[in-house]
Amino acid sequence: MPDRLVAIDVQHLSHSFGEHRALVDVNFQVHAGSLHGFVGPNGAGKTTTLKVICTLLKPDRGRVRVFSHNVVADARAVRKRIGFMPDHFSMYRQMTVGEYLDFFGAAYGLSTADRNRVINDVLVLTDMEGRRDHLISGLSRGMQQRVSLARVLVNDPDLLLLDEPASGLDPRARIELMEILRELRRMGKTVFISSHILSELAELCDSVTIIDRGTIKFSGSMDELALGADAHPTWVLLLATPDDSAAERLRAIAGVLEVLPRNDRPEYRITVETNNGGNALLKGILDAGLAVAAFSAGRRHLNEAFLDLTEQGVR
Amino acid sequence: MQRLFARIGFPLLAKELTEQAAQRRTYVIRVLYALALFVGAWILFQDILGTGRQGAFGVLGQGREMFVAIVTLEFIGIYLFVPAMSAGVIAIEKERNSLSTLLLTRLSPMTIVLEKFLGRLVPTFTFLLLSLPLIAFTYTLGGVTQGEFWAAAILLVLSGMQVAALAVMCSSFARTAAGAFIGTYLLGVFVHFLLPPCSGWYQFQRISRDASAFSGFTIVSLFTTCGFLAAARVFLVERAFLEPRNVLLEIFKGVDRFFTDLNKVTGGIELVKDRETLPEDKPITWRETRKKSLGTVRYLFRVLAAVETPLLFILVAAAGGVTNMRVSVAGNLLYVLWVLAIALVAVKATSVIASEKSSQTWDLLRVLPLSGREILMQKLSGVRRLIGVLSIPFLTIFAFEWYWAASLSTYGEHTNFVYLAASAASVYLYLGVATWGSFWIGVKLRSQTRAIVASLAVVSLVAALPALAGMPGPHHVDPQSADTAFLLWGIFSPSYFVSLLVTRQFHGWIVAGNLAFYALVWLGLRTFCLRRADRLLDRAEALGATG
Repeated sequence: MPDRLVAIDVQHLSHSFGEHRALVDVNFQVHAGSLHGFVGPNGAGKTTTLKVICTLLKPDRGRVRVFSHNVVADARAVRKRIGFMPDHFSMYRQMTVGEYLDFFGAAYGLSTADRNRVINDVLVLTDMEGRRDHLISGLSRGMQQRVSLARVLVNDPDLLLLDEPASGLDPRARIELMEILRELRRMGKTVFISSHILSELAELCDSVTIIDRGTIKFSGSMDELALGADAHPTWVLLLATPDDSAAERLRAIAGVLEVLPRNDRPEYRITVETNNGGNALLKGILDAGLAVAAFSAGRRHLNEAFLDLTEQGVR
Repeated sequence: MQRLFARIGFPLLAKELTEQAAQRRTYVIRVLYALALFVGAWILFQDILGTGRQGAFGVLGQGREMFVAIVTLEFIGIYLFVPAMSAGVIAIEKERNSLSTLLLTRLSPMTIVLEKFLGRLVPTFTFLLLSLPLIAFTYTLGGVTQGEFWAAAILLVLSGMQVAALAVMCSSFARTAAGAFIGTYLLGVFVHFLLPPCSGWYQFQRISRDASAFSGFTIVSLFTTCGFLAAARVFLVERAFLEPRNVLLEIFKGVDRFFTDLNKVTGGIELVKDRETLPEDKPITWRETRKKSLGTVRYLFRVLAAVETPLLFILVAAAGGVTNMRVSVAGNLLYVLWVLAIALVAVKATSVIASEKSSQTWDLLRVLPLSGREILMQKLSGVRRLIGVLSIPFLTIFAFEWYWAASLSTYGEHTNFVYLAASAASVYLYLGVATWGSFWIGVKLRSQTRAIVASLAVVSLVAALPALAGMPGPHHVDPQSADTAFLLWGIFSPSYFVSLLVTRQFHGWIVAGNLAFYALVWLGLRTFCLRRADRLLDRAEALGATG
């Protein structure tokens, strides 16, 4: 992929905290303009990776680039192009919303006039325009999260790094946050979002990276994840009429590894040995004399992929 | 041990002791305490044994003097160390949001208070045990009766309980460990120095003269200890869930309201106006000088007025007195001012970064596209402003002293000028050194409370070094027979140098040496911090070229 199309390029990244190896040879790329999910169990290395990308942590080994800028050698250039929201509320509680945003606008070197314009824009985007003069300490958690997001946008960053932005939010605030993120993608921003809320990420993201115990288990588009490109492919068959012997006949087809019937209707999930398209399997089904109502590639949900790819146990 | 406690039914005490045993800090404090005690005792013993009473029989019967010295050291240890160990005991649970969990268990609030209290008494008593070998030594020398020994032991135990109970009460009242820590020391000073009947040390000094003082103190001490614990029980429930507050800011705002009300009488005159502005090009400076209680012009002006007004009043009153009284008044004012100024600057400079860490805004500052040097310089702008304000009362005292000396013609014009210049230089240099040193401590330590405690401990230790080393004060030294030790302490100790200035003992070498040395220290610390700014901020680029 050409460099200009890559927002984040992580190559052979490793990092340890004393004896504990937090990241081991991590590799992945994030396309510019995409909404990329970064998921993993607790202690998997998500926050460590984010901290390396946003120049807060020096990697022990490997190379990390953000829009072609090295995060160590060219940290200042990286900082100008990113907006980072940590996994905890980072607020100056004695400031008003306007003062807080103005503070960060000035810190990013915006002129007074630009700051005024940008702050109005981000307050509109986050639906906070009526709260400019409110003290941060008096805002609810959801409102503070919006202020935090507005702060991330003040310097008009090309890349947003969001660490658990939806944690602790009520369902409404969470839905509204996801809407804002969609809007940001429409504006051409690259959004790298670490989260535990897989259902929402599945709907929101173009691509995803799954990390577990410091190693990457999957990195690619949501389609690749759903189709299980690197595993045994799964197909879904719906028969026109129920047939008690169907499962037996399906298992007899060459290359079929597993057949899982559904109880409520004549539908079967068929796992095959190799991914050579569905033609051979469909031919085998028809040859077996089964009446096909629908036949499609089986898609894994992010939840399923997460459970398949990550190991059990609390870290 | 934990299993034993769990079986008896002291789960919180077991947890406290297990936690303490697992913390390196417990052992560091114990070793520091033992070092301070044994080094202090060694210095005192040298002093007592080395006054012409050497020889095996010469020291017999001298145990009492040494015994009193050791017990005094133990009292100092209790007053200094026990609050530091105990002040966070409940406040930390509040900071970690774990107090609510404790309150939901079968443990009653009083049980929580008592088990927390007992958890702090155990290390306190280990401190007392540390002095046993020294006391045994003094006892063998003779001069100490068994009655005195037991009286001292009971007074020490009761004082340890009293101070620990006071710290638990403050901890139960305060929202943060830092608040509890400051509160314990302030109340401790009040109780032990302004209410002598409550002070074990004071009672210890009275025992030899009045035996009834002992039983009196026992009752008072037990009563106050129970009172503190009862108050802790009440606060534990009533103040379990407190919103974050900036007490200093609230006090200032209260004063604001008072003056606003007064303004109706004066027609709305505002002497110092803080314009409601937004940051121009230095946002961190703006925050430090506009949004912090000890940064804004208006509030600093109030601090200045609160210090300067009584100061001027006292100086003007002293001006009418005899020369000796003037010198004494000005000297005492200078000592008080130094303590206040150094403490304020050290706490403020320590908090500059430590507060960002505790409010979790540290990462946001580090990812700003500003250089580390810019961030540090802007962060310290509030401290610089504070130093500027604090220097005014210093200069006021120096000006009075200069005027009095000039009118008396006791000292030459040249000496007066040197005094004025050296005094003013010492203020800026020492406060500058305190700023950078405290700032560095604040960067290195994770918790704000620990950073403030460490910073104040270092400052106190540096100030107390000449006394700890047994160096007599400058007014006890004959300038004509001043030896190398006098010269060295004068050059390297700031507190000794201040004493020299106060007592007007001018030695060209000492003045030049001390100011040059501290100018170098200030410059060295400043250069060190600014050159390593990115590293101090823990930024990736400061740590090498990989990545």
